[in-house]
Amino acid sequence: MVEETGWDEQGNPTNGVVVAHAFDRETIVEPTSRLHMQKPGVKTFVFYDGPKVPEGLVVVL
Amino acid sequence: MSQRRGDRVQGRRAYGGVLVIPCQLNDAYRYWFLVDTGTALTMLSRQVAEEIGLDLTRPMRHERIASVHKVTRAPVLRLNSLRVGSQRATDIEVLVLSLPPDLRVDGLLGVNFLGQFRPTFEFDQGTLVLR
Repeated sequence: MVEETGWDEQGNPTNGVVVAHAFDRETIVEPTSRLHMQKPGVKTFVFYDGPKVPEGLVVVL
Repeated sequence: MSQRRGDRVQGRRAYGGVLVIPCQLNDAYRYWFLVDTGTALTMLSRQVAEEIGLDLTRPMRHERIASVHKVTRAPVLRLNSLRVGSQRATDIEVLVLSLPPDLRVDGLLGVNFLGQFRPTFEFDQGTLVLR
């Protein structure tokens, strides 16, 4: 989870600081909630790192 | 006659070719969502709902959800805002449902958002255009 610190003219994040990272998504929930409570107005970006496409996975929703 | 260029939102293709794009919720929380014209209501993962402070004990209602493999029920809540690129919609209803961890996205961008625009998919560029 990254705290965004810079943006381009379209509002896309260009800079940020890594605040929390973990192997499982659940672990990111508490630090994200806490950061927003501690810093009202903060903007965060939560994303998955590592392999973007699990081997052999095709999505059919 | 001039063409409206629209707002080009750069995403990426994944999982066999579907399009995922960054979405910002309530002007503060950004996540990757899978763009899904087969989803009526935009969907959030349970983790996102917790992070942005939605009260899952007090949903507006529950909906029956029919997907390709099962029918289930899920709570419906309301987002203050949902921004994709420079396009921002307010008072958007969302479903909250657990998503498979292998999806590695935090939500599905559904027709209740997309339908407010004339969306065009440029799959070769990994881009969603909203007019």
